[in-house]
Amino acid sequence: MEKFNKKILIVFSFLVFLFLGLVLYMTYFQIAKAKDVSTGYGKYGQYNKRYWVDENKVKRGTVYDSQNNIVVETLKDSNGNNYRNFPFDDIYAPITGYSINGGSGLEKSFGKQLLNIKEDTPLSDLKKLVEKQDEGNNLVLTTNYKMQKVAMDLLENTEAKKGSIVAMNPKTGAIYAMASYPSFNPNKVAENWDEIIADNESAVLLNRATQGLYVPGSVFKVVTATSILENTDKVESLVIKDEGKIKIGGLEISNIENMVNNRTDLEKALVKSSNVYFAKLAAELGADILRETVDKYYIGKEFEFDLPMYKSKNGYVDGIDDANIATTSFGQGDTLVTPLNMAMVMSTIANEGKMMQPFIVDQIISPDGDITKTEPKVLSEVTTPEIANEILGDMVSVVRDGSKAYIRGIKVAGKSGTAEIKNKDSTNDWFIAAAPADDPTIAVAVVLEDSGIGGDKSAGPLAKVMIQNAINNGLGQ
Amino acid sequence: MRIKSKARKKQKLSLKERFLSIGTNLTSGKLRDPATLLLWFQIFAFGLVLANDRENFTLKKLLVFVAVIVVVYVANKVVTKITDGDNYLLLIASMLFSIGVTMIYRITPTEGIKQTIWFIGGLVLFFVVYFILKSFRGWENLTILYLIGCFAMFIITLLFAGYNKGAYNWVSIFGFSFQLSEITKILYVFFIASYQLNDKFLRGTKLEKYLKYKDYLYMLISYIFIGMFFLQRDLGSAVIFFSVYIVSLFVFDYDKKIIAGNIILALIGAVAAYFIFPHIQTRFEIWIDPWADPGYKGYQIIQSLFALSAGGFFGTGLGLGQPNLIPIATSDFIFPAIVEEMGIFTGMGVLMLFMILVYRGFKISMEQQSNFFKFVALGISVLFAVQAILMIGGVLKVIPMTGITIPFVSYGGSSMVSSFMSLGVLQYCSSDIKGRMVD
Repeated sequence: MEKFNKKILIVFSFLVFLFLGLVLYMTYFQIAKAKDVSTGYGKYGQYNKRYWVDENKVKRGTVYDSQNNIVVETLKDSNGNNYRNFPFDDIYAPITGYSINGGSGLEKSFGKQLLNIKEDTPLSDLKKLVEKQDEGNNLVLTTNYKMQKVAMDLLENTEAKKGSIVAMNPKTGAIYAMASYPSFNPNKVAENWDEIIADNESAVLLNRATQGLYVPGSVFKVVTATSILENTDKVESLVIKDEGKIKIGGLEISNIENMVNNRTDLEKALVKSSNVYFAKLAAELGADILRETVDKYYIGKEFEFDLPMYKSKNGYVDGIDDANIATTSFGQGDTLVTPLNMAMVMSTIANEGKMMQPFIVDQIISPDGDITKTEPKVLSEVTTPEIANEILGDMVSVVRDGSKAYIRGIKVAGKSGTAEIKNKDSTNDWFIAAAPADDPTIAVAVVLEDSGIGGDKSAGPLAKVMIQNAINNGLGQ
Repeated sequence: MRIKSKARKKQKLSLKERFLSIGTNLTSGKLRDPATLLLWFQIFAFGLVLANDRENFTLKKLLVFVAVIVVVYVANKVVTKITDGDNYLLLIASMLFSIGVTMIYRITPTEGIKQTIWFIGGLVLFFVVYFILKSFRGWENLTILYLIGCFAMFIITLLFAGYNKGAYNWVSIFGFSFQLSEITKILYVFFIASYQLNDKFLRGTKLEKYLKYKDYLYMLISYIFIGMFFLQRDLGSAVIFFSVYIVSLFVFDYDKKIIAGNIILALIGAVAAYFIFPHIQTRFEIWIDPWADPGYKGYQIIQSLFALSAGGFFGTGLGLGQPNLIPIATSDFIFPAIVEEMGIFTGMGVLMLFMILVYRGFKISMEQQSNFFKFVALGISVLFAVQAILMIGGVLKVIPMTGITIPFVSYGGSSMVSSFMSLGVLQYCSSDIKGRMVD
């Protein structure tokens, strides 16, 4: 009998140990893990519906563009339920995104501000019980509806039917327009969801401006040019004899249509888009120097932006050989960039070598009327004003010398790019430009997917229209 | 005369004195009686959920809850009158039920009302079981009957079972879905106790020569049961059976090598099952990393974790959280729902109530003079403990999810009925401690 009881006591002690273990674990969970878990460790927060089911109690804020147009607003349906209305349908969709199924675009990245969810403190929980918080913050964007519409229309009317345009103020980083085509109608996302998700070909939910990763092609020569000018002591001469082809690391590199440019300096190299020039000097500079310049341009580096985005890729990877350094130098290697990133590169050249932090939300206005304004901020000191202005001047020559982006009476600086993706007929067409060159107020990056026409011919005219519109609308003044 | 003067004296109390006397009242007289505390808890909790659901308020609902409060109060008073045993058992069960039904009603009012009916049915069964056990003698001699009962439950399940929530163990009787495995658990405890303590059932029959294989036969039968649960995909019951089985080996003084061997065998079996059954692999994967597939496979447990973290130590307050976002929140995931709105502290309270229940069960077991009921009390206590630990550990992601219910708390008829039957057994074991079956 006593023997039984002894053993029963052992079993009981074991169970008590387990019970107390659970009690202790609950304390540990609440103190150490609860905060991370509730946000899904930052990654899976959209599965925590507690963040987005409140919508009938809290009215999500209104989003205005810089012209005071309502871009997104909360309305009530016949059942008294709140819903988000997007008056511009697909035009603003790449920026606003949608709000169902976890959301995208601003609706996702500014969800907390729009719903006026404050940082979690013990006091804020108490306040929620007392204060009636039924309205979110309003947002004012830096975008201009006319520019946004022009950009979307331009993309729609191309043969490629797929692409992106980013237009920004090079001096502040404020985004004027951010287009991604094909787009979707955020008012009908719920009803068309299955269809939208099934269509991988169009990928309309992808914001190509921030999430499209493209081979840059010749527009990347601007970056390489920066590296060359910053390190003139490390190259034999800034002037080379371009014979149309060159052998580097066992790989034969040739110019477009094997064009022979003979005596070539940097200006001529940009105007003629000489692959040989950049390949030769890049091979002399070596990967380390080039990688550092690319890094300063924030290609392949994380930076903060108001919309969800993917990181670009710096092509100068560890252990890269000379042949790959050469191809990467003119944008044909492993480098992948987003249109936003290329617009930032153009802005840097147009802003005397200073890269500004891009932003799209200009003001956050609380229900009480408190305004939080975004102040322009330097993201990276890429290069000196002298070097930036020299490249900008060379780019003016590029446009003047028979580019489709040429505008009579306005000094436009630009560079085209035709990035081969599969073969010569399958190309991503690029154009980056800034104007007026003496005091740039707009920088623009255009990319057309799988166009096959050539950067200057297809993307150049789009950049031109964007610049004309920006100047006509007096942007950046 | 004296009473009168006392009353006058009370009137003279200043407001401040009355305020200060509130605290002292708690420890004095009436309120110290747990039945009264329970009564107040029920009045406040049920009042809150009814107020929370005021748009759908009907007199009928109010009457149901009033009836429950009265029934609980009366039942707890009756227990003290008819038995000299442990009258805390029913109090603890009633408290657990009260916490559970408050949350169930708050999430799905119709289930809350059904749960109260199951509860009253369970209470009746509690007394029925108690009186049946009290009315007959010789419970330890029915070994074969318990065994047949266990197998019968399995056979009925195999013949009529439907697929529900990932397991093939629900039998539909007259429109009510019922898990017979809940009854099998109690029969198994009785079977173990009588098998170990009574070998008369083999004596004097043709089977007597097999007596030397008794231990092996015991293991074989137990593993057949556990294997059957595996086939029904009822992992929770398999683990519970195995726990009771291992405890029996330990208590009945089996060789340490045999116990170790059984545990190793179980581990090998678990690993083999992992490779054979895809659903076990899934459970394991979800446990290791639910975030790998947060939208589908890991959805349940992730919603559970969200609920746990949303509540904090004190909870969001009844009606202020969103426990309805957790799948099957009223049965399998009742615990995170309770924690979200009533807080981690209430969650700990639930654990503590179970610990007290298990403690009293073990106390009864140790005081019981009859070895048969000693083990029955022990087995039932282990059942309660393991169910609570498995389920709460599961929703906390400490161990893989097994998909069983928390006794008295979760929504569900079969769980409520079998839990009260177990409690009735325990009640009997406590009241007959100095009984006539001294060995």
